[in-house]
Amino acid sequence: MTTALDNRSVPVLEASGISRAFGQNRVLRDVSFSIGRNEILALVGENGAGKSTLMNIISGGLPQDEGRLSLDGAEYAPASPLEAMRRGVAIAHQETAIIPDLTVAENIFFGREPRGPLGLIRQQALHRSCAGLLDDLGFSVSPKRLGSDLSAAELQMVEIARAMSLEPRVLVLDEPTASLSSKAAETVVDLMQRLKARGTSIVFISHRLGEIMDAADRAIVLKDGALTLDAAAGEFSRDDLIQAMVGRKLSNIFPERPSSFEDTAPAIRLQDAGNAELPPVSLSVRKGEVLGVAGLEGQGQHELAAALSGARPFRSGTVEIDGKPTNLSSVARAIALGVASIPDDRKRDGLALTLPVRTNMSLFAIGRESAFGLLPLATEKRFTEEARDRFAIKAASLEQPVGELSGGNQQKVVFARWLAHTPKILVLAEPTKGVDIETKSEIYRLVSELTGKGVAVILISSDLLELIGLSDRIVTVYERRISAEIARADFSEEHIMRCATRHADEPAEVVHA
Amino acid sequence: MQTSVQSAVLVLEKLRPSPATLRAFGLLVVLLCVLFVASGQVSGHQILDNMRQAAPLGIITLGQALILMMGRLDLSVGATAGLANVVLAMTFAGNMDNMAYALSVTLGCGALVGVANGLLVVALRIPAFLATLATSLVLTGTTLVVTGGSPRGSIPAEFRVITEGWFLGVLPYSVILWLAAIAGLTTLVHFTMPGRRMLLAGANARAARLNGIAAGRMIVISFVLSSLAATIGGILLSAITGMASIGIADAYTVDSIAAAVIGGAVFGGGVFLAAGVSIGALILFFVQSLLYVVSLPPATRFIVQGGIIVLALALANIRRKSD
Repeated sequence: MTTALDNRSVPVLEASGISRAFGQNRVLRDVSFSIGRNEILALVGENGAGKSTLMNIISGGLPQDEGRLSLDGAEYAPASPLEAMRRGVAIAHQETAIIPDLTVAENIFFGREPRGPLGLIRQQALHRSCAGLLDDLGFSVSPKRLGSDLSAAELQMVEIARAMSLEPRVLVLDEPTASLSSKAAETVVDLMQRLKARGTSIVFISHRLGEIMDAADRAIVLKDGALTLDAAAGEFSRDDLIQAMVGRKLSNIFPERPSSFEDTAPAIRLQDAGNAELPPVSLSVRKGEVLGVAGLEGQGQHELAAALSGARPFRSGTVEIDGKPTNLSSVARAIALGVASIPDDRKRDGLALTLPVRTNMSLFAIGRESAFGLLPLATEKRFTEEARDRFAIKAASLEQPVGELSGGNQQKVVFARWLAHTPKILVLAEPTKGVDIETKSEIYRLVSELTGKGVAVILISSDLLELIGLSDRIVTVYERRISAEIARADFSEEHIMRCATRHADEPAEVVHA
Repeated sequence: MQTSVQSAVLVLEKLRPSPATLRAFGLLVVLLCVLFVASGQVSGHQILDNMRQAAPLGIITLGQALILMMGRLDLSVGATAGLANVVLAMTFAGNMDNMAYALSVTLGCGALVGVANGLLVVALRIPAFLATLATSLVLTGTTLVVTGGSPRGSIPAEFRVITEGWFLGVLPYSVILWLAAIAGLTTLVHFTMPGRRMLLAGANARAARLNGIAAGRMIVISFVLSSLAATIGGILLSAITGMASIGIADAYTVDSIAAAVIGGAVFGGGVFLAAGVSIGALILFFVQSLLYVVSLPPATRFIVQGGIIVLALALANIRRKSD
């Protein structure tokens, strides 16, 4: 009797009216959805749309402010991930927490190892049950291999196996394929299909529209914390997903851009330039032009930034700056040639957090003024005071450790350092990540001011609005290659997203009217 | 003209003692008062004479403070000073004619230890405190094996003038050397570009590299400077004792860290207070004098030393909280 029931009529997990805020920031607004038995549900949305928060609520990591959850028709309010697991909801996180020095088996059963009489771990029983589990999942990796030996795909599989060892009814996968090549991602999708066949309900977060179209029985889309699409397979297209993800208005924080760069000379031109991490790339940026680089996470854009900065130099092809062949063989050389690189991870790659604002800001300003290796103290004082005022840096004093400033002010310190001398080429990697809206618009104004002076800007960003608002031209990257070049007239979030999710030679899909 | 006046003002501003240095100085004054009450006599000459004897620790502490500024620890300074003692006695062999040879070999050995420490940290990416601990063990073992436990040679009496002699009868030579080290390292760290690059490399080597600084080289140089300071400390110590003995300088490792911390050095790095850490070294030295005067067993020194470290850090933290 029950087997004949329609999937939708017996939801395993049901969420209704879920809301959650962090301080003033409303991350989820009145979200309702359900997962049926043997169903794969795709959760889609831009960065910051609230996906991870929603999954954390489901798996007991966070409580919701409003709304309720039910599991198999019964009230479900897990107070901790442990309780969620006991109720049959397990999560495999995006960043795998595999311990490199432990074996696959030890990782999977971490904290739940079979114990002997003295509380010692029974190694044989552990590895035997792990082998059984992996066999069951059709996953061929030896339980005895060390975490540090595993590939990215295998790490993800072990993470999933760990969640599956709890025999959950609902398995949550947070971007299981984000760090994988498309080949490796297929094996993860296959695994999801097998789990589904065994009766597990799966929620997975993904940016890869292709695999969503292939694998999902149902898709829901979050945008700015609200549900914008909830449809069963066959009822939505790729374009519907994109529209639901990004359909918002451009705000007016972007400065006007000049209309044409036809007559300006290129500031930098790459011809088949590449290295071990970056297949040959060709592009050129004119003086005063902003070239946007769009792509999903990990499609080679950061390797490009590292090569331009001289940190991981190009090994092949040619680089021309101002029409003259040259090379960016080291960071010092790139700086000398007028290439300024603002890193995306300012805390790790940009700042000495324990040192004062002054010390962090003045490096390049004083470097050129130094005589006999002495610090030009007067120059440093003048520069740091002027830069603080120019960039409106809010700090108790210039002697305050830079780590105590807000993200936006830290970013301004990095800008102030690199802009001590006007560069020829400015490489920006996620320049507004983690900064407040006010600093954002200041950074946009600054970019506009610099391009007015003829600085060529390469803007790498995962924020589509920012790319569209600031760029004069956009290239999309997919799997470490440029997949499309888009002129300003053709900018739209949908078009960029489409180009950023397929190879250059893949045929464009028919756009639904 | 105006800029030179402006620069002079800025230099003076930089040389103004930091709160941590003043706190250490206050602690020293309190200690001297207690010493005066206990012994009934504290004269300027007596203080200078104590400084004379504290000079080895003072100079070694300066090196340790430099490494602490880099956010690291040098656990090999004691063994390096001990190595200097043994090598100096061997190469001197009691004959003043060997001075140039003896000093250059000893300083050369010290520099090599620093290069080894630096390469272990930079090239092999071993955390500094483990790398220097390993170096320290290797040095101690090597000294024992090579000397067979009884080091040869001696320091000629004429050489001992550097720790026994007084310049014009006013200032001990070893104190002059100590002050020169303070001036030299202060200039390097606070007034030169290489010092600034060193500071940035120590605080965030990765960011420093991405800003065009040869961060690895800067870290190696800092370890060489620390080992050279330890070697000079070892040479002064040799001049005081006049002979070589195994393990004579082992306590300097812990003492130099204690002195640096009392003088305002912080484990997170980024701070270099040459005057403060020198006062820290003096405090440790006067504590020993005080215990001698009030005839407590020498081992109580450790208890008092621990107490003073806690006191110095508590004072620093209370102040920070009130900010």
